[in-house]
Amino acid sequence: MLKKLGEALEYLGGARDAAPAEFSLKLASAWWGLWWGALLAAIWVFSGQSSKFIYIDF
Amino acid sequence: MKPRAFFIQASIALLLIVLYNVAITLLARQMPARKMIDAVRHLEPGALFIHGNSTMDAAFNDAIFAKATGEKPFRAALGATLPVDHLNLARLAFNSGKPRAMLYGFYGFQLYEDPTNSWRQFSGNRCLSLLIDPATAIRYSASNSIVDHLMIRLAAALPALRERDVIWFKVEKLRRALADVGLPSTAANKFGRVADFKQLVLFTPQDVHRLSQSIISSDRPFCGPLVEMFDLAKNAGVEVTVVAMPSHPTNLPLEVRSDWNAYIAHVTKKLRQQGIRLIDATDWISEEKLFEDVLHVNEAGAVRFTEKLAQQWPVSRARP
Repeated sequence: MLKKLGEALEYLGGARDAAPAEFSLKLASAWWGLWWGALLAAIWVFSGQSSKFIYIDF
Repeated sequence: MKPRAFFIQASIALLLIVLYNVAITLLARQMPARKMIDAVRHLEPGALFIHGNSTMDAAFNDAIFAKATGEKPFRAALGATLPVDHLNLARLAFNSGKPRAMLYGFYGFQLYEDPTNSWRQFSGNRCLSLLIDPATAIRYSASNSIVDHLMIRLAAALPALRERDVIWFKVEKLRRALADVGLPSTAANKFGRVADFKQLVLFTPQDVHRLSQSIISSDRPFCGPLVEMFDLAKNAGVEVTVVAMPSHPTNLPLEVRSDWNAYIAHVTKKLRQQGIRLIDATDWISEEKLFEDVLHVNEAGAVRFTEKLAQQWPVSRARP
């Protein structure tokens, strides 16, 4: 189970080119839009860490 | 993959980004800058507009001052704001409920610090300039950069850029909490971590000497946003009093006092030429225990500052 999950995450992260056998989501699926949107939001949420925060009053 | 499939995926991703902006807008309603703008829009005419940055916010006690002077203070001082933001907020106040007078606190050489060029600086409480008047922000902070000009316009339009700190501050607080796990807790106050404010004391004794001499010998005007703010006040019939805020004992050591005093005398003269009074509170609080950090007084320090300010207030008003 963990091995399969690891393979799926490696595929999602671009570490492997071929999808695992159990990974049924096709490249043309609309669900990939959600994945890319969530990734963009996650990148934005954490990109502030390069800022020099001194005042944090809210 | 067919173009249609790609278009659908891109549209869904874009929709998520739009939803993210909506979420930021909802969360940002509790930001101090937004609450301040709403409050200033409903400013009671005849109020005393208490203005400046966190040094004034920390030092001014509304109740004590109101009781001692009979004034109706409205505290508009916000942490991590600069003269461009002060200009924007003052203009909003003068155009809303006209205040009777304005009390403006400054620290160090802030009266002469020209705005820097960068769109990134408009974050945290400084997003108020993007909310009130991006054109003023552009005029003072993107004067020779088309990129900064465009980014200020874009940031003013997009909540995810304009109020990005609503989320970023939460992430930073989480990061700090995790970094403190298993360690003694880091001293902090309502503005941030105590140790961090040492970085904001930007002048060494050599700087005090150099800047004082330079300002006095050049006789140059105050920085652009403040010149504009004082002019606006004059045209609006708002009486202005400027306060040199209390300095932590370690910031102005004895060897620079003569330079500092000469600088304050020069500022007093320049302000008087514009019909503005200066109250020098630099030495009002000499005990370190009355400070939260190297910039901000604590509650006891605020009581001391406000009581002294109230004592000076009628005298200062009578003798411009």
